[in-house]
This record gives sequence, structure tokens and C-alpha cells, in this order.
Amino acid sequence: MINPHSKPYMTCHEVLDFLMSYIDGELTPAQLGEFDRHLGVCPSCVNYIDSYKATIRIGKSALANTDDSAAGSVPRELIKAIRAARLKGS
Amino acid sequence: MSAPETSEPSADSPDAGLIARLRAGEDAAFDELVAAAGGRMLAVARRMLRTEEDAQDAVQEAFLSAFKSLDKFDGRSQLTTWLHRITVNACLMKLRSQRRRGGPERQIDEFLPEFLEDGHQRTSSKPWKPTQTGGIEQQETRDLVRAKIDELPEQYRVVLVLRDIEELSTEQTAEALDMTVNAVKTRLHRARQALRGLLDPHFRAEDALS
Repeated sequence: MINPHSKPYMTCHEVLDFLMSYIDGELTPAQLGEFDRHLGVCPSCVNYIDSYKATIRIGKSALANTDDSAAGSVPRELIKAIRAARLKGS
Repeated sequence: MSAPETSEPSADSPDAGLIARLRAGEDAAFDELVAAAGGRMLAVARRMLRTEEDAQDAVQEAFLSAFKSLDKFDGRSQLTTWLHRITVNACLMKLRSQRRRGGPERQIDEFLPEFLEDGHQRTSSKPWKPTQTGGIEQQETRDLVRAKIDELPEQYRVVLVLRDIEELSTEQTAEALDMTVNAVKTRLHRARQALRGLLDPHFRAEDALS
């Protein structure tokens, strides 16, 4: 039976709006309690938060790998262009 | 984001010898710096800009800017850190000039989650396949993620790259983009949400029950 005096849950909209503050540990203990209360009954938001965190990791990994192949190799034409521009300007 | 104002690197700095040779105008020192730092700077520019031509232009501009500002390098940060900031600035300048010339961008709203009037998600979020989120090993997956990042509206993509990829702080990003800290936070959150939405159809576990 639903208790009409029980405190309403945060909505999914509110949870997802404040998600970054939640992840960054910027919520007050009271806000954190409300957040966790919602997550306790909402698997959809739990899934969303997991995939949001995964997005950050995946984006980082996808672009960070550019570094491995590119670091240390500067196209010869670019080196020449930089040298020529420097000498022209000096 | 501005370069430091004062001018003398510590004699103990590993960069001090090279800086001294650069300031003396030694040609070989300039070539040495380009060879040593150019690859990393090019990687940064490739992440921030959409074409190889633009990335190489930005690196050239960054080096020329650095050469002119050598007296401002104070040695409090590493030379590579200083060059990284200059490269980011050169890329931002290029993006600004492109934005002035470019047409209207797609709106971020089309990539964000939608809600019912009662505040519930319009479509339930499903879990993602764990094998897809642990590490990026396959070229195909890397290409997909890069393509989706490129689909983000420019002003959101650049905040995502600066904060999540280049690991600038919120404050540094705000300074670089001439925005408030709160505006950077809001834009980063929307950019991450939009990227999540773009990746979701590819990474969602289709047979998930919840």
C-alpha cells in the first residue's frame, strides 16, 4: 500500500540533469541520499549512469590511441614548412 | 588560456639547455624541438580539428607562436606542457575562424535523452555490452567512436575534447574558451550525454531485460 505521506522520489529527469555533479562528488549528503534512493528503484537510470561513465572511458580510449601512432612522427613536409616560415619571419 | 608572463627557466630545468640554444637562435635547436615535440602536438591537433590539413596548419602556427614567445617561457612548467597549451590555443583559433565561415550546426537537443511529463525517461536505458566498454582494441570500434565524436555540434565537441581527452581542468577550459566555469560544466555534461546517445545503439545489449 502506498503511503501518501512518503517523500516523493526524484524524477529521472532530475537525476540525469545532476548526474555530473553526482559523478564528481559534488552533491550534498542529503542530495546524495535522494539520488541513491531513486537509483534503488530505477534500473533505467542505473543503466544510464553506467553507460555515461563508459562513454567517458571509451571516448578517451578511442582518441588516446591516436597518440601512439602519431607521437614522434612529424611529416617531413611539415618540418620543412615550419623551418621555412621561421626563417621567413626572423 | 595565456602563456606564463615571466621569463627565466631554472638552470636545473631539463629544458634549460635547449631553451638557451633556442634563444640564441641556433637553427639546429629549432629543428630539434620540432622533431621532439611535433608528433605530440600533431596528435593534439588531430584530436581537436577535423582534417589533417587543418591539424598541420595549427601545429605550424603553434610552433611559430612558441618561437616568438620563447622569452615568456619561465620554466615553471615543462616545455612540452607549455607547447601543449599553445597548440590548444592555435586549434581554438582555427575553430573560431571556421565557425565564422561555417553554416548552421545541428542542435544538441536531438542527441539528448527525452522525458515524459512526469519526469521518467521516455525510453528505458539498457545496459551496455561489457566487452565494448572495457577497452578499445579494435580499429573498427575506435573509428566508430571517433566518427560519433565528430557528429557532435562543434561547441560541444571542443569542450568534450579539452576536458575528457586533453584533460584540461574545468577552469582552464573556461579560460581557453572564454566561458564561465558553470557554462563549461553544462556543455560538457550535454556533450557526454549526446555522445552516449550516439553510441547507445551500437553498444546496447539487445537482449537485456532491464
